[in-house]
Parts: sequence; structure tokens; C-alpha cells
Amino acid sequence: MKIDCTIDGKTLTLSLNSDKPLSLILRENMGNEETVNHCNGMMCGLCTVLVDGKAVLSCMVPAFEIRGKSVITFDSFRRSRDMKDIEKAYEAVGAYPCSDCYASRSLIFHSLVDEGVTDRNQIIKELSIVRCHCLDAESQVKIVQKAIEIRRKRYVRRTQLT
Amino acid sequence: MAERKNFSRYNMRCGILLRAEEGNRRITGLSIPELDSRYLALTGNDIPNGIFSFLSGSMPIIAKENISCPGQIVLALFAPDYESASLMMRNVKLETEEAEEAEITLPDSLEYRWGETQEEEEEEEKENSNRKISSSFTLEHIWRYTRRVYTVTAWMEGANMHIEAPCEWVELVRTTVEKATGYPKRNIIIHVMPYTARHDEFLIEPAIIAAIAAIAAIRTGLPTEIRSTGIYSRPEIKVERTTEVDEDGKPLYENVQMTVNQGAFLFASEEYQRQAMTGLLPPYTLKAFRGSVKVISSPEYPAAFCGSLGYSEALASTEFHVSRLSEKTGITPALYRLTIEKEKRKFTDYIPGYDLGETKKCIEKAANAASYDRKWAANSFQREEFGLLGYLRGIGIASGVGIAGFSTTLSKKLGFSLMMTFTQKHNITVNTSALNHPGTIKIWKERIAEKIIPGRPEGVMFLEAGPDTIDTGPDVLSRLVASLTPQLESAAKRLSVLKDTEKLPVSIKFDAENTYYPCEFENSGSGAVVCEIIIEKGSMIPQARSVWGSFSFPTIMDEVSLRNSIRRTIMMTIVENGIQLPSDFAIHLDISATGTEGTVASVQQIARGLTLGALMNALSQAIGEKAVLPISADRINGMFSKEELS
Repeated sequence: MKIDCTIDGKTLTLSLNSDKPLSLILRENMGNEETVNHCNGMMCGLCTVLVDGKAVLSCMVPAFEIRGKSVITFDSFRRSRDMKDIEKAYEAVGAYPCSDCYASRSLIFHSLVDEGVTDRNQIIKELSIVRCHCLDAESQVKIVQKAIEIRRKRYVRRTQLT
Repeated sequence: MAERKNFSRYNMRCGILLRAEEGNRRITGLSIPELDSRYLALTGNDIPNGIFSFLSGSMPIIAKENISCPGQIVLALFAPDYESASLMMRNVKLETEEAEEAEITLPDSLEYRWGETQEEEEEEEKENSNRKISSSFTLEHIWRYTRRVYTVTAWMEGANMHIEAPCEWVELVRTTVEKATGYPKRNIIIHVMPYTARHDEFLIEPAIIAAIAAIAAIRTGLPTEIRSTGIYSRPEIKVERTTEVDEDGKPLYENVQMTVNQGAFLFASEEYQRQAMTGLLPPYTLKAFRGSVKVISSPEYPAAFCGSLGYSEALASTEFHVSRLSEKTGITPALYRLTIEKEKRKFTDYIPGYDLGETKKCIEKAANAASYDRKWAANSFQREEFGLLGYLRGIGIASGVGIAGFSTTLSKKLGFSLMMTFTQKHNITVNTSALNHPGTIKIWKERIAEKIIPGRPEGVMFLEAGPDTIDTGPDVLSRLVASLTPQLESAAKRLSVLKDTEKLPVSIKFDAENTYYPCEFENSGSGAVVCEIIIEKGSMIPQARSVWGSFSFPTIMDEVSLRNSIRRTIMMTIVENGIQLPSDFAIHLDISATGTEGTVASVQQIARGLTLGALMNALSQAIGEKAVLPISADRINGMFSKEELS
């Protein structure tokens, strides 16, 4: 079937099986192997992407689900201003995810920051989909809180300038 | 480095692997359906020189007649896409029968001793008031597929064979592909993909898979790709240790035997023995010591480096034993360590004599931060009060030093060479295969620049990988960071002299020979770790509550990275051993720099060893002496129900 979608800002018409997982579309059709894993639904959490701004596990999203939607992978997200906020939060807290889960965690952090989630339990719950144990819960909560603070400051500065 | 060719997926072959489910089997039948020209199946018979060799060990790239271990590759099937390959793989039938155990030449056990034991010393009858204290330390075999899927791609371009893979040792991939395909090494171009190898899972497998992909590329004439998951395997380790102590609890004589089950193929066994022996040597003084490390084999997936190569596990066993000694003496383990360890450690062939002051400071810091003595005493008292199940809480401590990477013996064998050139434009170029960590390269640039072109780190350039890249050895155990840093600094010092006396450009080739140690290993960095665990009374799930660590290193290059690296290693070690991390789990780290000149230790090795030791001590306080790692709720339930029955 033909699916119209936007991947990393590019409007595409993909001709593929309707049930092909998004992770495989990104790996095979888009050549994005470094930042998107495909664990066949084993819930490793290392295939996270943003679909319409929300962090989802791409191995659980069939092709037909992305019709008309915007998919952002870490490949394009890493160059955005939003990622800079997350990076600054890592630096401020002094804790970084390992290179294995850096992409996935950064996207989830962004999603939480975007929604303005400050509840500790919700942050831990959302981040528990990444099954890598390189960051403790406390550091993750601190990173989200710090990133929210940094982003708010950025928005305030921008508003003042305009 | 040559750019990756941008080939269409419609014009390539995708490969999947059939792996054995059981070890020690003989293949009685392998029926492959009739395949048209779009498919290709590779079995052991299709690879004439199908032997993969690595540090004194070897294994078939694809199993031929016998399957030695689960996870061994039996068949590689290539199709236009993965879906077709998977569908076709369903029609492949593998029949096996139990085989006789294959004979494997085991290396001699490594023995090390000093002094004469009591029995040898006193043949004549003499009243002996000494006590013998024994402990048994067991780490069971772990074998897992990692969650990360990786691909290895091979394609031909003119006379060159290109391989794209995540790999920890480029030279190993090149050699394996050369042997399997007959392509000259110079024409094999490796494109290293970024990877995270927590358990050195990208050391052996990618080389084997690259050889298979390369053969398929030659046979089909098309680019080929194999998708696979990493495998890691920790060997089964048993350490039996007996110490004779005097009336005051002071250790006098010690006998220790370590048995390591490395699996079906023995890779780097001798290095394993050397590393393990270093960890087995106790930090306290003894009149006599006898140690042996024996390697055995079994039909399990081969355990090669697995993040530590034996030092961490052996160190953990030593720390476990020290806590058993303290329990028998009636002193808290932290205080006992401070009491029995002298100011200086004995010089041995494996580790030099060094000042134990830093280790003692670390013990004090970690124990004070954790209120270790109070908690240990409370848990011990409560344990006796709580009847059959016990108090189910434990706190453990472990302390020790780190070692830097590989042994001198292995360094002599591998060389770990690099080349440094001072160019006519007064820049420095470094030719090395150790290019995998951008953070480390940044630090190396600063350190080299400091010696030759102060304040101009941008003038130091690491040459991109190519056919002329010098092999700097495997990127495991932080060897490249640990011992290569002083090696680079020595080279820079020499080059700073040569640039003024020789005609430019001037180059020097430097290898490990320039930084050999008098012992097998150089100690570097001290640490102590306290770990507190609790076993949930309802579910019997073991959980780690908090970890306190105190570490001291000669120099700290980047404190944030170091802190993160230690934290990750601690958390990975805990999870790897079946202990859960609750949401309120916390790690309290204290890191200090002594400011002395010294090598940089493999941080992961020391952190892993100390965490393992502290975990084992905590677990044995919580559930008794039968504690083994990895642990699980079922296992703890089983232990108690067996106790109840008996």
C-alpha cells in the first residue's frame, strides 16, 4: 500500500506492506540503523521516535499508523534547538545516558519536557520503557526538571526579545 | 576512509543466521529446500578455510559436523529481503543427535606461590592453635542475547572488499576475512560502525559474521548484509579458599583454587589466568600463599572477555573471603580490612608493592558515608532473631585497586603499536586504529599537544582509518585508554626532542615495549564500595537499595565521564546479577585525585569487581552462606524451601 507521511521533515510516499513496523521502515527504507533498533517487539526501548511530537516505540507502530503523520528520528532531532536544551540539562545534572540509549532517552526526555511533566512517578514510568540501566531514576527526574527549567528560560527570553 | 557505497536495497542480499539451540550435538541432517538464483545458503562446507582464530583459541566460522555450543552458527541464508529469508528459513530442517564430548586441549593451570605452608614447614609434631577458615565463591554462567540488533555489510568495489560492522578490533575482522576469502589484507577496507560493547559482544561475533557476509558477496556478486543480535557470555567461576589464621585472627597461610569454565572454545585463556591470579592475591600479608587458576571447558557459548577477563571476578572472590574472615574474628568487615592490611602491599610477579593508604582512606570514606558498621551490626543481630527466613537485609563492603588493561606478556605479543609524526607544518599526526571514542581522542589531543605544541590541541590530528592504519590492538578492558595514554605521552616527549634535531617531517613508531611494567600489571586507582540490599518479604525479589562508592585515581581526565562510567558499571553489574533497582535506588560517589604520576586504571574493571564483591557480601548477610550470583526470587524461595525440608 502507499503511505504518505513526513519523516525527518521530508514528505514521502512510501510503497510498502501495511503492517511493516516503523522501526524496519526507518532502518531498511530510510537507512537509519544507528539510532533506531529493531528488537521484534522485545520492548528494549531503543527504537523510540517522535510521532506527531510524542515518543513511541517504533517497533510497535505498523506502517498504516503513520499515514499523514510526522515522524522525527534522533537523526534530525539531534540538530534541533530542543536537543540543545536536553544536552544542557545533561551537563547541568552531570549525568548522561550511555551511547546505546542516548537517542531514545533524549527523545523521551524531550517528549516529557514538551508536555511539561514534573511528576516524579510519571517521569520514572515513562522512562522505564528504555530497558537500559545506565541512569538511575533520581538522575532522570533531575534531567527532566532541569530541561523544563532551561526551556522555559529560553521561551521567556524569546518572548522578551519579540 | 572510503565512503560507504550508496547501493539500493533492491540490489542486495539480506542474510539471516540459523543458530544451534543446544551444544554438544552432531549434525545428522541439514535439509535445505531448492533455492533459485535469488537465494544463497552457506554451510560449514562452503567455507574452505572456515576457522576463526583469536588469542590462542579457534572455532569454526560455521559449524560443519559438530555443534559445540548453543548459539553457534549452523547456516547463513541470503535472500533479496529479510522477509523472504525468514520464510525460506522455515523450510530448513536441522537434525542433530547427541555427540560424544569433544576433546579440548586445556591449558595448564596457572600456579603461583610464595613461602612454605604450615604442613610443609612443621613436619615435626607441634601444638597448633591456628584456625582454618574456608569460603566458597560461585558465579554462575550467564549467557544472553543483547537487545541491540546490528548489521554487518560486505560489498566489493573493484579489487577491494568493503566491510561495514561494529567491531572492537579492526585487525581481527581483517584477518578473519582474509583467511576466509583469500582477499589480501590491503584490499580489505573496514568501516567501523558506532557501537556500545558493555560485555565485549562486538569482539568475536562481528568478525565471524563479516567473513560470512564477505563470502556471500563474492558468491552472489552483490552487496550482502547480515542482521544479528549480540551475544555475551560470562564464564562460570568457582573459587575455593582456605586461610589459616592465628588466635588474633591474623591470616598466616592461604590456599586458593579458582576454576573457570570458559565454554566450548577457549579464547584468551592464558590472559584470563594471569588477570584472575592478580585478583586472587590478597592485600594482606601472609607467611605463605598458594594459588591456582584452572580453565575447564563445557558445551556452552565461549566466554571471551566479558568486560573483565577475570580480574574483577577474582577480586570479588578475595573481598568475599576477607568478609568471611572478619565474621569469624568478630570484627566488622570494614574495621577488619583496616586492621589486617599493612601500610604497603607485598610485591609479586603480578602486581607491584604499593601503598595501601589510599585504599584505607576509601574504605573509611565509603563506610562512614553508608554508616556501614552500624548497619552491618544491626543486620547481623536481627538475622539471628528472625528465625527461618532471617532478616533478609544485607550490607556488604569490598575494597581494592584497579589494574591497567592487559598483561605485560600479552602486550609483548600484540605490540599495541602506533606512529606519531611531526610534520613540516608543525602539526602532529597520529596513526592508530584506536579511534572509537571521540571523548578520549579529545583528551589525547590535549595531552600530546601539552608535550610538543603547548596550547594548540587542534594541531594534533588522528589519521582516519585506511589500509595503512597501524593496528593498536583490541579495544577492550579500557586497555586503549589505560595504557595507551602513557604510551602516547612518552611518544610525544621523544618526538619533542627529535623535532629539533632531525629533518622534518620526523616520525616515530611506538609500541607497548616502551611502557612495559616490571610485573604483569600495574596497579592504579583505589576504591571501596558498600552495597545495601533488601529482599522483599512477600515476593522474595532481591533489590539494591543504595550503593556508596569511594574512588581515588592518580589523575582524572574528565570527572563527569568518570563518574558516569562508574555509575553505569555499578548499575549494570547489579542488574546483570538479577538484583532489581527500585525507583529510590541511589548511588553516592566520592571521587578524588591523588595528583601523583601513574597509569590510568580500567575504571570498569575495578568498579565491576568491587560491586560484585560488595553484592556477594550483602547477599550472604541477607540469605546466608549459600549465596550465588546471579540471584532471583525463585532461587531464594528454593533455598529456603530446601532448608525447611531438610
